[in-house]
Amino acid sequence: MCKIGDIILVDSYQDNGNTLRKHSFIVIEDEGGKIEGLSYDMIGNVLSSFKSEEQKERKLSYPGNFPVANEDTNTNPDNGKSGYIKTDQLYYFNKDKITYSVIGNINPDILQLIFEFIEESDFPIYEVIDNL
Amino acid sequence: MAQTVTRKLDFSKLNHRKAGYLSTQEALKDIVPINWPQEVVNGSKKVVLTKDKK
Repeated sequence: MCKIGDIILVDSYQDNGNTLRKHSFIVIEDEGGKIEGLSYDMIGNVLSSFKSEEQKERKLSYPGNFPVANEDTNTNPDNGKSGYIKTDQLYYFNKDKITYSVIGNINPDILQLIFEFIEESDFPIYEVIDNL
Repeated sequence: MAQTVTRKLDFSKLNHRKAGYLSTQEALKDIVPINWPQEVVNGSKKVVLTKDKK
């Protein structure tokens, strides 16, 4: 069970026969629906850390990337405490088809800022539905 | 008391910006998974994310 604002760690899921592991997502929608005839019950944005200070500067120059921080973030080898949410990609999930755990949440005030950031920006939005 | 989210994302504002579909592999190619500490992974400690001020 998860709700909007939760951070989930997806243990594994299938992508065209390949098993992808251990990515973190922010839940931005917890109501179900259909896309391209496929049922989903959750939409998320992926979380990423940084490889280096140079990569951090480059990634944060992209309009769809929203910077976040947490004391428990270990961005080895950068070893900083920050990362970003890739808000220009919407990942559609069917919870019955993934294994995940809720590991925390995003501050609701910050989530409000993220929603405003997504709604009021003009970067293109890409959708990822091949996990359904 | 924990704060709660008071509104939802308005997806209708995104419709005109939808640019297509990506495969998961393509979408994740530049993503560096966060290496959460063991106490977060096993659920004994919860993460609370905030905005990075940098």
